[in-house]
Amino acid sequence: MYVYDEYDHKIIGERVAQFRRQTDRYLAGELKEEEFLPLRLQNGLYVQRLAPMLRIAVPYGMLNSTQLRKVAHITRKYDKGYCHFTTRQNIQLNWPALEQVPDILAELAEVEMHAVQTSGNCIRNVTTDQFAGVATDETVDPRPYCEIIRQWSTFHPEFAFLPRKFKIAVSGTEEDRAAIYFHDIGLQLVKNERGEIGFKVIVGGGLGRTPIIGSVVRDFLPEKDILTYLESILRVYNLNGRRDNKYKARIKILVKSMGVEAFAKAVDTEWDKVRDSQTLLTEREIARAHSFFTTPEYAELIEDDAQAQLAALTQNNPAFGKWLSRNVRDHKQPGYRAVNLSLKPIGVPPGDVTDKQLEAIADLADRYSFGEVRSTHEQNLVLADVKAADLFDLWAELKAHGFATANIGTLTDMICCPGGDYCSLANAKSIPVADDLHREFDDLDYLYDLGDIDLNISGCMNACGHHHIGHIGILGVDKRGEEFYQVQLGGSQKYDAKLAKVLGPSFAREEVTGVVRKIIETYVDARQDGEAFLATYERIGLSPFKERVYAKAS
Amino acid sequence: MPKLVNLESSQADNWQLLELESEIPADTNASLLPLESFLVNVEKLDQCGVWLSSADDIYALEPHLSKVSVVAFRFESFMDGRGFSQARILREHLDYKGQVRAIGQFIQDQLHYLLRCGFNEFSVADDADEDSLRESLADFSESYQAGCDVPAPLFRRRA
Repeated sequence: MYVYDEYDHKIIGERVAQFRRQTDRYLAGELKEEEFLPLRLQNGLYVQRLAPMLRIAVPYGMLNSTQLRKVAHITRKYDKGYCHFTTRQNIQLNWPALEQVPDILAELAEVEMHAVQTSGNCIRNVTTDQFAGVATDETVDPRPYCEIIRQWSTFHPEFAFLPRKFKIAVSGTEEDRAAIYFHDIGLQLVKNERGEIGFKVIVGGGLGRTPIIGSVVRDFLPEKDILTYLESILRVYNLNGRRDNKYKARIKILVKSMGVEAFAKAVDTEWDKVRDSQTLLTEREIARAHSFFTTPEYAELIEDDAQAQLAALTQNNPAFGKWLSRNVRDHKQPGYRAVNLSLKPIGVPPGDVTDKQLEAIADLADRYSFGEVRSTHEQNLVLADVKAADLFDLWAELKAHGFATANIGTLTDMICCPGGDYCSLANAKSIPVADDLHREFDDLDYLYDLGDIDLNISGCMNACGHHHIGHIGILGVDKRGEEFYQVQLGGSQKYDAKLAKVLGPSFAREEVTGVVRKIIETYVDARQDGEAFLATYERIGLSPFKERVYAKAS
Repeated sequence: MPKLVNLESSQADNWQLLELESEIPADTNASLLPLESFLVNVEKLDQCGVWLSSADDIYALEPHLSKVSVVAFRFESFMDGRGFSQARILREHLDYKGQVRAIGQFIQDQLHYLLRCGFNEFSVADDADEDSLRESLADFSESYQAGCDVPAPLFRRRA
């Protein structure tokens, strides 16, 4: 992963000092509330229902064991001993004290971490596929480019007061695991006929109140042009995005109102002026970025041996076999696997991890996976470089720590926002809904039989739980002051991007589990040839589900 | 009376900020004209200052920059960041060499970014703490990206 040099250390150090001074001035009454607001947001500090919340950046999901241990220490010293992994691969602390945040940032800087621009009307954390660098279907490793874009966007002086937040995601594989069609800018790494690396550029996707699938503005942008082109997009947005209405201020609204062609033309007009500037990337810098993401010192292993060994173990241990089939993924390197750690056991808010668990994961990362771990936008973690021969031992250890729930990709591997329990924007609680569903669908065999189902829960229209792009989406709504839940079906976050459709009138919380059960039963009754949930839905449509769910009891 | 702060020093800001309805004085040497007034009267004008609102099009000034000694960007709200792009366009695309001034509702903690985007003068309240302002101007000694102050991004300068 990326390692700071003296320049990075200096820049982050100056940021910590800047924010410490800003906090001091604010506490001394020299900075007004509304002036301090953008400053603290751009240092990750968000004031929430119960307490300030600090959002720590995890650049494109990469973490090392030293960083995990530091975060564990921080949760103990400054918080309530746990943290939360978010749908943008970041980490949130729910209970820091405002006066202590400069100290927290100073401690984070010691391990090359920060909370820069994780909130506010600026360019946010660049996210990517949790299997970057090890995925078998990878065209180009996105991480060097994520790091290049991260540096370009960090403390960018022109784009810190945008009309609204700005989110960029990068994908380097055939399957889109980074939801790039649902970001302000989505970038897909591709190669042209000559084998040169470039980007397909997608602009104006997003969820929230007005969910929109992004539009392609460039089919192939050579890699060295990425920063100048991004600058052009941001400049067009900064100058022309709406500033009169917070809910109409994202770039997706601008692209829609201008039309994609006019928008792309405006970007090109600007780009013509900057494409030969010094912001044009150099081969040297591209190479430098790549140099941080070389392959680790893999052992030379034989894949066939690994498979034979795993088959034998599975025979004797079906539970291991289940975990293997759901939570473990193939790897580019023979004899290696990528292991998902499920942060979704029953009774735990999805994505929450305690300090002890963080330290256990750090330990496991050191012993099994070259000291690194990745956070996923589905709120799980990944040990990306595990020897197949080590899987059985690792599984035993994961079980002991509560990370081996073999439910990755299933109904109970839910994306769930913090919701009304924590968030002042929420219309309804989301965590208890997730909990109820988890308890209802606790039979793993049954879950496996159901196959891949993305169930996403958001506590309000801001859609932090990505309900629009779940196969089953649940949205908390406020109906006459009470918590109700609207159910949607048929969304997809992959390259076949789709938005879910509303099933019908909303439900009270105690009804939700029953509704999901009826949806599942409809699927099971109708499915053909082992098709997955989404395929059945697409074949039979919304009506059968609607009829079953809303049928009067006889 | 507000003061005008630049990198080295400060002085009283005795520039007259004209509105659309204002009469243009005979001597416009210390006048900031709204863009529209300037464009309408440009034939008759000699050296003057021009101010733009966030919604104004900076390119409208392009043919007349030789007459403009100061371009001021007026921030109606510090949350409105259009001035940052406008100033950069003025410096980098239009190659403007005169004074670029920030007036209106920008805040102290934007000073460093304003500087990087090409501003070199800042109109502030007369009781503003100058030492504190200069500290904020120098919040960062190093930056990742190109700016008007340092046109080479860090990746071209890394040892």
